[in-house]
Amino acid sequence: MKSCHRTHLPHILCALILLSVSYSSAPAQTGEAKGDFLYNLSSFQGDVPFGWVRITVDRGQDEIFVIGRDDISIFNEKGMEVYRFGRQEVPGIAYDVAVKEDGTILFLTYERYEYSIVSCNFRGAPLSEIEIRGVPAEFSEFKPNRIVFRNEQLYLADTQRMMIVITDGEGRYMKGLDILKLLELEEKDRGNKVLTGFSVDSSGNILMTIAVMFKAFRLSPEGEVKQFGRAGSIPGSFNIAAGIVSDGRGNILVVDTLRCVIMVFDEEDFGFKTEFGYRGLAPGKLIAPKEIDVDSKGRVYVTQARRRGISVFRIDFTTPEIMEEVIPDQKEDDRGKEKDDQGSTDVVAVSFSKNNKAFSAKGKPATRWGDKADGSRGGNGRATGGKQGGLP
Amino acid sequence: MKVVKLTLIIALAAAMTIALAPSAKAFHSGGVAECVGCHSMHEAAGGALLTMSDASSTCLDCHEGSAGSYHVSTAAVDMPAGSPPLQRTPGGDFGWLRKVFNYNVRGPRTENGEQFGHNIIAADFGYVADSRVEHNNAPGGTFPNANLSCTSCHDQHSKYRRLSDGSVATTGAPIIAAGSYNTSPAPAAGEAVGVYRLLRGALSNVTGTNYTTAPPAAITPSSYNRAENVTMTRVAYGANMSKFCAGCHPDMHTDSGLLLHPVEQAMSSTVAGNYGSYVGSGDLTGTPATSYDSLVPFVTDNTTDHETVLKPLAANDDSVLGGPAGSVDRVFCLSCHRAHASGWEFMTRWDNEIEMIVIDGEWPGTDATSTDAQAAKWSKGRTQAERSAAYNDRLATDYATYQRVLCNKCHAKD
Repeated sequence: MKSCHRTHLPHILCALILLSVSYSSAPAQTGEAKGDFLYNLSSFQGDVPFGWVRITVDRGQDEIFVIGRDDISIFNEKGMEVYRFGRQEVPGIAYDVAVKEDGTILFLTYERYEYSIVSCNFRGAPLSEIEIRGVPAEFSEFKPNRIVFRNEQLYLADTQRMMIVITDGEGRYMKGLDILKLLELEEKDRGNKVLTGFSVDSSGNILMTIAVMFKAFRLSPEGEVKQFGRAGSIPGSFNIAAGIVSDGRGNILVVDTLRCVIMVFDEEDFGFKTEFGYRGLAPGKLIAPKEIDVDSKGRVYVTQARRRGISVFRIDFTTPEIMEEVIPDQKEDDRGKEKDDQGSTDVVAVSFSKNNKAFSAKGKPATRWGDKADGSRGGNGRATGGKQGGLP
Repeated sequence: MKVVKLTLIIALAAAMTIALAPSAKAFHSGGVAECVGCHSMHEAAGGALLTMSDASSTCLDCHEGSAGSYHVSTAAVDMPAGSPPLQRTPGGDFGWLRKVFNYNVRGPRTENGEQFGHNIIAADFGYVADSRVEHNNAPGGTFPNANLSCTSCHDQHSKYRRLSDGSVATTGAPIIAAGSYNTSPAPAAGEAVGVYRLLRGALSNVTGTNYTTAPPAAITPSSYNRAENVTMTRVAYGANMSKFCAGCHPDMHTDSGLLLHPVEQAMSSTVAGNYGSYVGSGDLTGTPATSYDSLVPFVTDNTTDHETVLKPLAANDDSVLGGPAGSVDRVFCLSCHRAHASGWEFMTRWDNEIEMIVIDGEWPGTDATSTDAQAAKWSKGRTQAERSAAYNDRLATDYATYQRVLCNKCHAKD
């Protein structure tokens, strides 16, 4: 028996070392948060069988804009289609959409190889064109296919060339980002490595995924790049990373098209929290999810293939351990607001821990490209915060 | 004690699996890929435990997407009416199958996308079988259109490999990497690389196919899904590509004895001479050394020598523009057709159903500058962007102001 112990001692030590290595290198999996399926976006005829479409949420109104092959549909916060118009009714051909704080709709359109930003009212009727001015020569090949409007700034992304141009609300050039160079990739990789996910959070951080690198990136307004993610099939790892978005509650959500999940990471340390979805045809399951966005109440909208429609989830953090950390007054306030907004109890309020930074005060980080790190304006900016609502 | 030992062994194995797993940066790596990328043990959506409902959908799960990279299909949302598919691979974008063009030339006409390429069946992505009765079977063959998928041509579990001595086999040495690219490693003794694009061969037939040779020889530049408005993408083709096509289309092949355009036959010195001197309609002032045109590729010397012949020819910077040599280099199916799909009927590389492909110095289109180029006869319901994309963004100014179809690159009848 003693000899047996001696024989296996190295094995035991080896196993313990490897276990500790693998444990420390594995993403943190708290299991305390989960994604609850709510419903699919619907019309009066039932679930709308969207496939891989483009989705943008106007967080001021919690309206969901969906660009399909032929039409642009708008859904209200209950997930019901309230308006639809033809994609070709916008001058040029609309490729992506953003919504300003005042409700003005901005379409990224193309006509004869040239892109333009068309400002439209709530009916999609064109109001004016925003001319992008002052873009330097090194961005002459820039052909954006994504548009985001955040904090009075316009973010245009060319996902194929991995370039981003930031302008003020009037289209005046402020900053150009060559992501390829920023990540110190080789020029020969341009077109081979592409942005598979792109969004901008409320703090002005640019979030990106590059599927072939199995990585997600966060680029701060101060120019700091952080990355996370690793290849693999276990929870929290990337197969085909696609859409990425911050939920404004301390989480970064990353879609994995191949694993058919939405992964939730802590935006502070990128620790993996949980994932939900999974492949399947049952309600709440996903088939090749791709794009993602969230509304102001934390509802998560996910596009998928096989005309399975856009599934809506909420992330539930209401486990006892986390509830203890919730700031009581604010939790109650938030719940009350949620009930008022919802008018029903079918969507339960989401509560947040201090760790999720939902209510934390962390000084004044810059939220706009060109602002100083203390949050003051860097020169080009106008005051942030437009009217909420008030469609023209 | 046995329980303790067993637990330790399992823990050790699990820990090693997790801790020592390589951080893979490619998926196929020249052979059978990561199993769980396509198969799901407990949440399968299709037969064979596929993650999607059919084989092609499983492929497109990764291979449909935004412009660039390894994508071969464009999502419908990214190609509304008037906008072309986004991919510019030499094989063409399956998205063309989703296009419909309407125009009026001596009456209303409609060109449905199904006539633009191989109608793979990928239910999850809206690709369905060719509905035309005359295409119930592959043209010139018996392969049923209801079976057509990506895996009809590509072997997702390919065992074919190119060994260090250049021979192709299904065993003999481990596959260390993809062998499709000019950047692929040259296999050393005891090593092998995958075959071009995991294409099938005589030892990997599936129901309905009759491949009779080793997989085709070819090498592509490592960056190939790219616009060709500045420089062309030259794929270096070697032996067996047309015979590969004949695996489903045998009666389209010269070997059938039917009266067909020759393939896999050496160009005559006249044809090679035409290719070398042809610049555009009415212009035969070119030189063979710079005459290569990616819209009319050819087979080099029927070679299987990937390392010393094909790799140096595969380029995307116009550094290798030599034309064909008479009696040596060959015309083949892909001289005129794309492999996946194109913007034109019969998936040809150029619009072969009109006399001229360039009008008044520009690609015809409903939105062309020239009123001549706008005419329905030439534009055929397409915008200039769509027409340009079908030529992988080659410039109309690369050709004559009134350029006739590119049959003339070899035949110079214009």
